[in-house]
Amino acid sequence: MSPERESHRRARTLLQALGADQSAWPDAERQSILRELADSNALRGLQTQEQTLDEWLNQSSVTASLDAQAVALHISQSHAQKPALEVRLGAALERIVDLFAFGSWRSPVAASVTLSVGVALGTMVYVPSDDWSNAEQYSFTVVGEE
Amino acid sequence: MVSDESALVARVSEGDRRAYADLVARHLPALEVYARRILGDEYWAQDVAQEVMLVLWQRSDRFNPEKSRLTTWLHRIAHNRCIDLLRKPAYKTLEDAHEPAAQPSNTQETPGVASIDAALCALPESQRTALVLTYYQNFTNREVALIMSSSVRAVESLLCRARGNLKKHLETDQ
Repeated sequence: MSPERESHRRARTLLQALGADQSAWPDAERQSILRELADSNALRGLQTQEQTLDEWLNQSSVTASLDAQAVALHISQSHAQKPALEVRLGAALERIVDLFAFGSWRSPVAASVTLSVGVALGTMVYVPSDDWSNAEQYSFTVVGEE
Repeated sequence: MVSDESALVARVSEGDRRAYADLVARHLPALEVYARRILGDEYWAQDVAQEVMLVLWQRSDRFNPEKSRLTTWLHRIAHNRCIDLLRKPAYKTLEDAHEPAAQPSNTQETPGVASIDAALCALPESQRTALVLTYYQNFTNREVALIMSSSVRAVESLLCRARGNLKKHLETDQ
């Protein structure tokens, strides 16, 4: 398509999409549409049709009925704000830091360290017996005596 | 205006009720009117507008002034809520319990106003949304595309079809 035809087609599209009022047209394309309108009777006819539609649309007058002040007061007094994820993560980190800053964690940690050391020492010192025959005999003897 | 609103939003996220009231006063009426034109029902529109204001109060930290204007962000939330409602099968049933769609509340209105509102309500949802955002809410095509999660070309196409359908309605009406 030639640049002239493309420009004409674009002006037609924008008139059909945005109407006859040039303040509604994109700033960057306004001059180009005006040039096309000056050169084309068909486009001027279309602009007249679109103007009629604009005037009809302008008759619609839906109005707001809510009291903005009352809505703002009601919402801000009856709903708590939800903090952002970063704020929530920051608060969680602060709680962890607080936990370590005070003494409440020391007793559980001391108990678990003591238990761990005891298990480690026991594992190193204990040597399992290779000969289990006496144990079996003893066990048999005890059962037999009953 | 934009930087002023960004500062107000920042204050809202810190719990400033006065800043919040200021933003509600600026944006609530436009959101209510938008939702009413999309839903065709005064009561649902009020619900949607108040829900958007609740999001502004509770989740203002999600607004990014570098990406859009505050009004664009708020209309995007309202748009999504309206779409959710319109697509719920229960919505039509509940809507019938309220006043009829596009019923003029003011008896002094010009004859034909109800006809415009009825014609708008009769448009397919996406065409109606594109037209209302562009024509009545004064958003640029780029902003409408952002609100509708669409492209600028798709928005232009929706607008052409919407206005074409309204022209047919107007011709048969006269």
